[in-house]
Amino acid sequence: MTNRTDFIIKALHVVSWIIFIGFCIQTGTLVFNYIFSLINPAATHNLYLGLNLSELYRDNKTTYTLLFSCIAFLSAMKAYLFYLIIMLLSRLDLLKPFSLSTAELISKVSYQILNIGVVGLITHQFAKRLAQKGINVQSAEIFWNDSDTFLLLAAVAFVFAQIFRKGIELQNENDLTV
Amino acid sequence: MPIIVNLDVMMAKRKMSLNELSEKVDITLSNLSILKTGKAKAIRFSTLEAICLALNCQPGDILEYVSEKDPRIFG
Repeated sequence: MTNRTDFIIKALHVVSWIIFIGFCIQTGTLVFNYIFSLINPAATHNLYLGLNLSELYRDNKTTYTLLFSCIAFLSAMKAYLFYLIIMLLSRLDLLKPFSLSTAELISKVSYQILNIGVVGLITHQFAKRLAQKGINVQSAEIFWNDSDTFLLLAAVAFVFAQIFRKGIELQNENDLTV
Repeated sequence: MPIIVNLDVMMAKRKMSLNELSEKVDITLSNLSILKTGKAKAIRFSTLEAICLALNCQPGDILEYVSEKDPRIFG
């Protein structure tokens, strides 16, 4: 393993930790602000970095709760994805990379990316319906705008996981060749 | 697997220990053990050649095909 690869892995590890903590804070803030908005409806004008769901809150509290749950769930799932990536980077041994635990983690990452993409798409469709009703939820779009990208990424990660499994088989065969 | 490795039989016939064979063939004891216990998935021609040279035998003396129905494999 070269020094450069070692440096890149360490940098990715640090970046993943930062993103993970960021998503954890985002999820926590969203949940806290949701509870706070039920006590103080004025908070619905700016729930999180300009997230304004006041129109939806006025229209229907159940729909508001549902959309907010989707947003918080997406954020929590992204946090879990980065937790998996942290685990993957910490367990990765580039001298002997083809281990079963790494393959399982890559599979988990691919399924988690797929879940985020699917939930993002469902939330997007839900928001579209609300927009058709004339309720403005544009400020929340940043939470599901990237769902297409996640679906594409899931496919790539899944293919990578399958190739990795084949790699394990080849390494096992190589280890048992005398 | 229907291929049986009779390395232990040949070693006994030549009265050669695993350590001695390991030194002569220049492969590790763990790899020889994998071969002897039948866990190996493949054997290189170079390894087979070295073993045959050390034990003064033919590849057929070390490797044997036994049908899957043979009780020697599946009891």
